[in-house]
Amino acid sequence: MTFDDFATEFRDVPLPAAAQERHRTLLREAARQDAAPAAPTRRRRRLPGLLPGLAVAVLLIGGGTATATYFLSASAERTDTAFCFGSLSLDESVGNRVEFAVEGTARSLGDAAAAGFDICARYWADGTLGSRTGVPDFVACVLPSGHAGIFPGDLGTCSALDLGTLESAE
Amino acid sequence: MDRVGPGVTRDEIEAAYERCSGAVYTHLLQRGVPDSDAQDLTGEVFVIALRRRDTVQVHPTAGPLPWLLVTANNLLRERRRKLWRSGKAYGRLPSPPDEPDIAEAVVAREQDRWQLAVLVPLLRRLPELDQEIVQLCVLRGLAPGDVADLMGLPAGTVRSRLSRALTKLRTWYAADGRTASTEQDPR
Repeated sequence: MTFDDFATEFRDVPLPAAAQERHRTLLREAARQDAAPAAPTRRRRRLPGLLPGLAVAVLLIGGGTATATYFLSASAERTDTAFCFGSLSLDESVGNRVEFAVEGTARSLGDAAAAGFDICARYWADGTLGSRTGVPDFVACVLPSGHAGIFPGDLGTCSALDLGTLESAE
Repeated sequence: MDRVGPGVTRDEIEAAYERCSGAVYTHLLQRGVPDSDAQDLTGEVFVIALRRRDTVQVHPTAGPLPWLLVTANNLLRERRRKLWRSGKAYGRLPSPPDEPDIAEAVVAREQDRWQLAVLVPLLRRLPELDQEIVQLCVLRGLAPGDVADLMGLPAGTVRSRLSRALTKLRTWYAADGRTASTEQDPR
């Protein structure tokens, strides 16, 4: 038998009945939560290091376009997925942007971004993103869609892209 | 990929669970994921599908299964990253000798067990991305173009990686796997 014959003979292994029951309960509960109207909540945002003070200062002097973008986008934040970018561009082509699902329930964009730094490093390491020049330092920004976007760069990168800064991984 | 979707309803996710949960579970077992983790991850995949049902891609012939399998890959990658950090990696590192084989305690049918016992070590010798491509293209029979689309990779990258991976797998299977399967095949 060749590998090709072996591979085509592969059959699915049935999921144990107990696991199926657990999953059906899980799905019913998720559907119930999903169908329920969202209760109004007051969001608290985690900002690292000097960013809270910086944000306030910039807002006070009225010149913080990037910071304003950050707060505006907070109302529509999306923590279920996030994006790795291969360059300082929002270009959505496959060579520049990879979407990944955030495991579990990230409570904030900061959580989603923190989960993504290693994932993006892997995409850079295997050549999916970048040009195989090594894994760079990353910074997480708030995308206009409300998702976290992880770019190669530092704390100045997000404002250069007219995006809010979440955090960096250096 | 010529999609019907994207987007499915809650009922369609529930129906997809009934049809595809075994395939997702098997997909994870093939990657060397221990049974209890494979069961948990399978459930998580469908909860994600439910929550992101407006983005679920539906293949014209395979339905939502390819999207579910790619989501399972993403979850697995994240789970492994956490396990690496805690020093409990599975899938890439060889199993300790006293650790029961993934399929041994779990998979009821003898044939499933020997197939997994042959496949898992072979796949583990490939880079993770190649394992994912082989699973989707070879074990699931999806077109490389569709897989590239789902994984966000250039089609040429998928084809070249698939070709190289298959060459290696055929060689390794001829050298090791065939012997193992002959010894273990219950038929």
